[in-house]
Amino acid sequence: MRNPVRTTITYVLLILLTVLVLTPLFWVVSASFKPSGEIFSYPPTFLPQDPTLENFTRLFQEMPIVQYIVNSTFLATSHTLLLLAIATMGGFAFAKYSFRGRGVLFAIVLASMMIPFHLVLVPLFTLLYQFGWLDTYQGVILPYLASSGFGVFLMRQFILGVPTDLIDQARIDGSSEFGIYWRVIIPAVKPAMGALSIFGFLGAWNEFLWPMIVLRDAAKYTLPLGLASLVGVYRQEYGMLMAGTLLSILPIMALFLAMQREFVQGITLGAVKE
Amino acid sequence: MNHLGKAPLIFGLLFLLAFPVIVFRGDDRSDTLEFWIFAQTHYDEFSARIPAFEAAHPGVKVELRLISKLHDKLLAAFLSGIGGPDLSEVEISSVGRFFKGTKEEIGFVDLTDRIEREGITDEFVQARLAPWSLDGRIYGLPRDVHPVMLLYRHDVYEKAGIDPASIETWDDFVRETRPLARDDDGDGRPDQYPIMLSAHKPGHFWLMLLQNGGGMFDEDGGVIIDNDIAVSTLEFYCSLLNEEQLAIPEFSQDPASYAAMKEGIILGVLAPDWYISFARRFVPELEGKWRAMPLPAWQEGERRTSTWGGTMIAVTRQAENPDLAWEFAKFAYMDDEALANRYRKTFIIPPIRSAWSNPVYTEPEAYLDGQVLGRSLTELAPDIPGFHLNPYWAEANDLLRQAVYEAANGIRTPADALSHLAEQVRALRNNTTETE
Amino acid sequence: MKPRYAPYFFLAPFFALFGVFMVYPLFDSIRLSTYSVRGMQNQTFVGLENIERLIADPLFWTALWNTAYFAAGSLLLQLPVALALALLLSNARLKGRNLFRLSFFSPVLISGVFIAVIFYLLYDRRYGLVNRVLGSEIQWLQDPDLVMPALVLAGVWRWAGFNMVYFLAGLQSIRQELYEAAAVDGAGPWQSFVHVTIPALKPVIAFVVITSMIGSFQLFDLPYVLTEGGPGNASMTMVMYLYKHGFEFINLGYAATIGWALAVIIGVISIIQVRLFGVFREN
Repeated sequence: MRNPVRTTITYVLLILLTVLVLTPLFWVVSASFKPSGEIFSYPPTFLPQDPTLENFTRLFQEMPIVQYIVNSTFLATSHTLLLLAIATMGGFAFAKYSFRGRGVLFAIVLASMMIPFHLVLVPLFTLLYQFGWLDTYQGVILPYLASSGFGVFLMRQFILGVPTDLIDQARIDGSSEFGIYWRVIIPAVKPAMGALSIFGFLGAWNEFLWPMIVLRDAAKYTLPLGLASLVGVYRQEYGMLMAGTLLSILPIMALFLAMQREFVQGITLGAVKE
Repeated sequence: MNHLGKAPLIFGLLFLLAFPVIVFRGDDRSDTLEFWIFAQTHYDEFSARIPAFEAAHPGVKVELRLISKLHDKLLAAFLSGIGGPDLSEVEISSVGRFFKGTKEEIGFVDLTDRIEREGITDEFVQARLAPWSLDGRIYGLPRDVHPVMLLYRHDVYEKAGIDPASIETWDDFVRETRPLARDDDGDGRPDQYPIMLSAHKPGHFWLMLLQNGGGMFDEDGGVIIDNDIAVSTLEFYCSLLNEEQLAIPEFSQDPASYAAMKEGIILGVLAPDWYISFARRFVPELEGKWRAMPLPAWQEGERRTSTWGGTMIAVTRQAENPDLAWEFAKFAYMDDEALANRYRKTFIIPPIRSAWSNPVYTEPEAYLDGQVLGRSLTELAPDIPGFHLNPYWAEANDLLRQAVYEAANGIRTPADALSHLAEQVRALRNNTTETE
Repeated sequence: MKPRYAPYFFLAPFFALFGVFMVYPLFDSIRLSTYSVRGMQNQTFVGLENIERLIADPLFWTALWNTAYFAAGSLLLQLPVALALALLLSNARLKGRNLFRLSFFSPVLISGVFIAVIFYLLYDRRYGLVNRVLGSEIQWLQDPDLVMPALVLAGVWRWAGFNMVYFLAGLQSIRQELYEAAAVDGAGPWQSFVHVTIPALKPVIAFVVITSMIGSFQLFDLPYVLTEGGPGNASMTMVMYLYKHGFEFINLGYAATIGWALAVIIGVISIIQVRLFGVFREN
C-alpha cells in the first residue's frame, strides 16, 4: 500500500463494517447467556448482567437437540454428496464431449438456474403424495436436487480448464470413460468441489420451508424446524432459541474455516470465467 | 481416496456418522397411541400423566408429540390419508379448516354417540361443544372454557383512588381510568396505559365483539361481521386506541408486552384464564399487584365476560384402535384430579360443570393478592358467548386481521373496514361453493 | 460404455431429477391452476376462474408489490454494499484479510429463521438494540412504511457478504496492466473504476444481479417468522401468499396459480436481464 492515508481509511472502514456485521452475532451470543427476563429489559443490556448457562442446559434437557443435529447432518451431507456427483458428471459431459443436443441441453441447464424452487411447491407436494414420499428424507432431498443446474454450470466452467491432453492420454492408456471421470476429472476439480459443497451444505442445512412442508414427524425435524417451535404464541423461549442458533452456527463455521481456501479458490475460478 | 479432495471426504465422513442413526432409529409403532399437541404447557401436563395411563393399560404406549404448525401438518395428513396421529388437539381458530369437504372427508371420528353413552353431554358448558360440532354431530371434547376477565393493577388503582366496583360498563372504564393515561415526559404519548389493545392483531377486538353479541358468521353461515354491533364495537375499540389514548396499541402476546408490564407501562389486560398464568410465569415481579375483575359490560346488566382461544381433543379416522384412543381422550380431558392440577398450573377452568366443586377453585391466589380466582372464573364460565364452527373461519380470521389493522390505524373507517371485510368473506364463500 | 453414449450417461442424473421434480411439476401446476382442489382426491375443473380470481385479488398485488420492493431494494442497496466490501478487501497485502472476509461472510452461515428471530430482538421498539443505538423509538416492524425497508436491511446484512465473495473473485481476475494503462492515460481512481473495473466485472455483476433477483423473489422465512406478513399485509410476499393458500387454506389450485404467476414474472425479468447484460451465451 503506497498511500498511508488511503490505507488508514481502508482499515477504519473495514473495522467499522466488521463491527456492524458482527453486532447481531454478538447479540446472539450475549442473549444466549442471559436469563429469560433479561432479553427484554429496558434499557437493553449489551452484556448479560447475570450470565447463566440455563439456556443451554434447558436446550439439551427439554429438546431432542442432538437428534435435530443428527437429522440436519444427514440431510445436508446426503444433499451435498449427491450434488457433487451430479454436478461433476454433468459438468464433465458439457465441457469435454461434443454430442448431439449439447447446445439445447446446456441452454436448459442455464434456464433451470432461473427457475426458483419454491414455484413448484404445490405440485411437488402432490407429486410426493403420489409417490408416498411425504414425511420421508428422500422426499426432502431429491426434489431439492432438481435445482443443481448451478452446480453443473460451475463444474463445466472448471472442467473446461482441464487440459484435454490428459483425457486423451488416459484414453490411450485404455481407461474407460468413467475411469477418466474418476481418475482425471475429479482430482482436477478439487477446489471447485470445495466451493460447491459449501454452497450445497449451507443451503440444505439452513433450508426451512421445504422440510417444513415435507416432514411432519417432529423426530425427523432439522435444527431450524425444531428450534423454530421455541417461539410462538404458546412459547417464548428466546434465550433457548439464541443458544440453539449459536449451536447451529458453530459446526458450519468450523466447516467453512476448514475449507475456506478451497471455497475462495473455487469461486474465483468459477464465477469469473465467462 | 486422497484424489477426491477435502470436501467429499469431510461430508462423506459426516454422512457415515449420521446415516446409521437415521436408518436404525426404531420406528416401532405397534400398540402405540400417537398424540399430537401444539403447546408446551400441554406437553408438560400430559407427559407427567401418561405413565399412569400406560400402567392402567398394559402393553399400550402413548407417544406424545409436540408439533409446530400442527394444524397445517394434520390437514396435510388427512388430505394424503397417511401419517396422521391417533389423537390430536386442535385449536379453536383452526378447526374450521378441517370441515371444508364433504362429511366423508372429515378426518375426525364422530364422538357424539360415545359422549352420550357416557351420559356426560349435559355436563359440558354447551357453548364449548359448538365449536367442534357440525349438523348436531360432535367431533371433539373441549378442554377449556377460557372465560375472560380484566386483569388490572389494583395497587395503581388504589393509589389513584379508583374503585374497581364502580367500573360496570365500558363507558365507566373510560371515565374512571382516564386519569391513569399520564404523559409525564411530555412526548405526546402516555407513559402508562390502562389497557392493552392490539392495533395489529384481531384477538382483543374479537373477544370484545363476542362479548357484545357479535361474530363473523351466524348459525347458518351468514356473514354478520358488518352489522351494527360489529361496527359500534370496532368504533369503540378504535376510540380507546386513538381519541382516548387509553390503550397501548403495539402488543398482543409479544414477549415485549410482559417486559412493558413489568415496567408499569401496561396497567390492564384483557385476560382469559390461561393468560393470567402466563402473566404469573413471565412477570413474576408483579405478584400481589394484579387483581382480576369481570369485564366491563357493553350495557349495564349485560354479559361481563367473553372467551379467547380454546382447544379440543379429537380421535382421528387414522386411529388404529379408536376405542383405546377414546379411552385416552377421556383420561386426558375428564379426570377430576388432573383437571384440578391443570388449574393450579395454568388457571384453566374445565368445561365440565361437576368438576367445579373441587376445592381447588376456592383457593386464594397469591399472584392476584389473595383473590379467589377460581370462584370468579367459574361464576363467569357459564355466561361465555358461543362460537359457530365455519369452514371459512381461517381465511375470514386472516382477513379480520387486516380489517382491524386498517381501522385501528386510520386507513379506513371502522364501518368501511368491516363492510370491505364482509364483502371479501362473502366472496370467499362464493369462490368455493360451486364445487360443493 | 462407448464414448458416444458417455455424455448422456453423465447427464442422466441431472436431467432425470430436473424432469421429475421440476419440469413435470411446472406443467402439473398449469393443470392444477385450472382446478379447484379441496383434497387430494377432490378436484373440480374450473377453467380460468383461478386466474380471474388472481387478477381481482388485491392481496396478490400487495404481495407482488412487496416482493418486487424487496428485490429492488436488494439490487440497489445490497449489491453496491457487496461491491464496496469487495473493493475494500481487494488489496492482497491487506492485513487480516481472511478475518475480515470471514466476518462479512458469516451471516450467510445462519438459517433465515434464526436471522428473523435475531432481527425481531434487534428491531424491538423499546427493548431492541437498533433503537437503543439510534436513540430513537421507531416501530420498525409495526409501521407499514418501515417494515419493508427493515426487511431489506436485514437482507443486506444477510447476503451482502455472500455476493462480496463473487465480486472479490471478479476483482482478482482483472489484469493489473489494465489499471496501469489507465493510469498512463491519466485516469484517476474514479475513472479507472468506471472504465476498467466495472466493464471487467460485467459478467460477475450480471450473475450476481440475476441470482439475487431470483433469490429475492423467493423471500419467505424472514417475513414469515419476523412479521407474519404484517402489519396488516404490509410485508406479505409472493411465496408467503402461495404457502398460505397451498398449505394453510388448502386451496391447491389457487396456490398453483400464484406459483405460475410468479414463474412468468421471474421468467420475464430474467430474460430482460439476460438480454441487457448479454451473458449466459455459451462462450
